[in-house]
Amino acid sequence: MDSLLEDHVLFDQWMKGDTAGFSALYERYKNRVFGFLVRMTGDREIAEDLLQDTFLAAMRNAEQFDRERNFLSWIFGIAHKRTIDYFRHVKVEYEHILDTDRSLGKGPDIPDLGLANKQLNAVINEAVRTLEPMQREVFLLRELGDVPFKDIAQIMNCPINTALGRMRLALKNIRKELKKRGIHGLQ
Amino acid sequence: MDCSKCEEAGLLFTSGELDKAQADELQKHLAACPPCKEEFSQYSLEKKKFYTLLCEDTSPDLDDKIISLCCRPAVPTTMGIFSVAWIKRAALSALIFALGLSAGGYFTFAYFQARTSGTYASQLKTPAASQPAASVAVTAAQKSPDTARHQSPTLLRQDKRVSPGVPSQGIITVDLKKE
Repeated sequence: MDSLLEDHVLFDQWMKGDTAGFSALYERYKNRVFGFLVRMTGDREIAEDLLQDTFLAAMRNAEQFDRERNFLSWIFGIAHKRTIDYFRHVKVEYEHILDTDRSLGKGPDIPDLGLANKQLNAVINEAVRTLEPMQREVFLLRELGDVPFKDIAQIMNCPINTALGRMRLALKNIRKELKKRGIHGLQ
Repeated sequence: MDCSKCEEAGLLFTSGELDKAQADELQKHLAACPPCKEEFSQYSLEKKKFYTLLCEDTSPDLDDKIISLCCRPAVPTTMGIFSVAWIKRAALSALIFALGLSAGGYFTFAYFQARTSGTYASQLKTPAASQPAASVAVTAAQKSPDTARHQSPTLLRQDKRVSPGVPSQGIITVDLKKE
């Protein structure tokens, strides 16, 4: 709740032209939003453009920010919309993106973590990429954006039970993929 | 609560979307059902790991670019107690209303002007344009009432419609009554 209040204070500072307000919000959430965009598009460069678009759209549509909602949910909603718009724009068959070489061939770069984490990161990335697009969206919105299911349902324009069902399936499929690669449960 | 609902309840619990009664029910079920408890614990562990592994670092250049773009002087979102969006909508509504009012006024004015000056406009097109409409009608009626009605029915009908407040055309009404 404190974080929520603090986000709103920072947001107000940003809207009053205080650069510190935006910098703090950006620093706090950029890695989550960027992680979401990288995994949704499968391309770092496109994700960079979309990250920029997301924050610019947030600035332009600041008046639409509902104070009852979480700032992070709102920004993830914008990022999700930008991603969908991007796929519409380039006329990529979004449902079949997993099948395209472009998506599979160029995965996100692995951050410089320890070797074990690097391998785990690669495995998780692969597991996330094998998810059905709708399952992947729900999974990333929930795990990276910490977006509540009622907001996920609103963002994805589906009933909350559908969002929950997709999340359950996503978790099941990720565990299955991890098991295939010899990882039995994340510690 | 049965095991099939426990998984979804567990997801809602971690997102803070369960009310107290539902949360208590979930806790009771987890205490009595070791497989569900294990699954819930596993997800709690996975959740932390997912977050760490799925975040991506951005490049400093990108950060600088975005911060410089988004930190331009902010557009005010409120003016006094009204939001800018509300003021924009109100201004647009006022503009549409003013345009409607102007158009309505113009057409009303044009309609009444046409009603009052229609007689003279049609008369100006006749050969005896130099004479006033009343005298044309009177002259024609005096010569031959039937012919006059036959030759200039439009004129007579138009004159009949003239409002009584117009002084110069009152004569026509008198002529018609005579007939």
